[in-house]
Amino acid sequence: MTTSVNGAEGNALDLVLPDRVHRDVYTDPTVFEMEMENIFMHTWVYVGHESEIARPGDYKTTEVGNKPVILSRDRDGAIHVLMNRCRHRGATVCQWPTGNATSFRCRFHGWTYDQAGRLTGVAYQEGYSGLDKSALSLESAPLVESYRGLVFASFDRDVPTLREHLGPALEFLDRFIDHIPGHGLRAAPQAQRLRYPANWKIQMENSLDGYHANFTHASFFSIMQARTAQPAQYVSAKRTSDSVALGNGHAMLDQRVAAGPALRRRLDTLPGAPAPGTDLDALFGVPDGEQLYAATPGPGFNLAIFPNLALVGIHLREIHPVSVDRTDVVLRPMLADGGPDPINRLRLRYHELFYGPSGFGQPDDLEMFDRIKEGNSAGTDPWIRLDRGLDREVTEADGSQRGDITDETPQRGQYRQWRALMAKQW
Amino acid sequence: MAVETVPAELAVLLRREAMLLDQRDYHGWLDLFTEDCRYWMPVDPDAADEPDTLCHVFDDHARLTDRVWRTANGAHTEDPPARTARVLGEPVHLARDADEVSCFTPFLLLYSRRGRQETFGGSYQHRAVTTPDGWRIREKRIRLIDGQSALPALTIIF
Repeated sequence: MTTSVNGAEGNALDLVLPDRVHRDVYTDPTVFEMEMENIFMHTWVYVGHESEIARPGDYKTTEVGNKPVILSRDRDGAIHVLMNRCRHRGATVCQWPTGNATSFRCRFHGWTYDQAGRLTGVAYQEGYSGLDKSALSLESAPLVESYRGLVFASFDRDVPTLREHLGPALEFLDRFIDHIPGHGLRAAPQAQRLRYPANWKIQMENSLDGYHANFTHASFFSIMQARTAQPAQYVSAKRTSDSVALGNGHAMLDQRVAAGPALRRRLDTLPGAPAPGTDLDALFGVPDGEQLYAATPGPGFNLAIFPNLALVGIHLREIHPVSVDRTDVVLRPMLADGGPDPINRLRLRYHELFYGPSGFGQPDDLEMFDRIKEGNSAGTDPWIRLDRGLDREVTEADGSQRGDITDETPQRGQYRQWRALMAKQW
Repeated sequence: MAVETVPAELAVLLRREAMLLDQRDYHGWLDLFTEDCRYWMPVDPDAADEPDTLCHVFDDHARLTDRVWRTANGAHTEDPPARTARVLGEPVHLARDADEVSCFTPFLLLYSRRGRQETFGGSYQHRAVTTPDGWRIREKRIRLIDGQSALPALTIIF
């Protein structure tokens, strides 16, 4: 008898134990529907970077969970997260990925909303008696806040403040945001979008998985070893670095000590990379060319913000659950705002080396997600093991758990938060 | 006005290129490129013809050599390998500059691996040059009509 929320004894909480999760967490449509409600409608969800909607009237369409939303900046500069669903008959009111608009008009019957989602126009309104337009705004997230350019929304007003929610991760968020000396971050104008035919949590776990790299990414390490004449693997049986469950489901994988020198050497392989020994200040036309160039691989750690954001390499990674067995992942490399074009060009080349559908690394992750989907239902043991390093994990004074970089400490932290949100009655 | 056409030998090279890829003769395919080549696929198929844009692929000869090795020998997404079948449209002449010719070739690519089939389409833009060994490819740009959509792993060579 398997445990499933579809079964007579059904309880999603039985599917997640401190050291393992039941395979149905990846496949049960009822669990997925609960997640879309209990998690994505009741906690802070990452929706975009402010630089994507820099000017008044700028918008982009995206998703919160599997619901289409518009991230919109109104004429006063305030940011709104609006359900992309006309209050008349349910059609989307905006179809473009990005743009600039003074209003959103549903082309079905002409109902028109302003940049804040207020219903401003109803065609032939005399056909309605006593239509209260003020009650028919696009539904919107009551809470929308930025943390240093990263915009989060909550569709539940009764949640901790964004700062409280992000609190355990702020040190590393700041390090990512400040990783280019003298420059803030702006999103590259394009993003890569990936899809895989399996559950969203597999990507959530994988962004913080230090155990898989040597095996899933063996071909990447072989290439880098050949190109840089340096051992590229940075994980071994010997403890080199840490993984940390920070709290609130956030987690961090620290590659700074182990991988730092290797990351710097990878730059030499980029198309258009300056030859070793080049005067970088002169080449880039700035006094801090060397420091700017050295920041190209990013801050050297992976950070995941529960439930749908990871900061990996130099990109912001959004997880978009589409259905229980389909997920989209958006990768948006971050550039030096106001930095020299050649620096930002090299940042793009660095990102493309490993990431995206044709990078030398990420496709192999997608293949493993596919193989989980294929193998998961086989056999009588329904458990996915997440117990690696459980006995050597240390709880720090701040409440975080610290393990070896190859341990499943981050995933255990993610599922603690999953369980806490799924257990609440809303 | 006479419309310039793609040199017959170059048109043959393009068809042979597609055949080598469908036969997974990646090293034979790489031999068709010059040492100063660029092989690239911008995310936005309409992106301007310059490198300040995010790409799915942006290879010089060294990175392309690594890509060939990975596709032929290393990627888990090619274990077992994908099969592809390409159908090319008639190449259209775009420009001639000294010994270089640019041309535009629509393509349809069927992909099959482990019971899953995908269809990709778009166009190739080649910049080819005459050499003592015949025509060689200096630049191949892929415009994938799905470049901005959600894509699966694309470790095949286009």
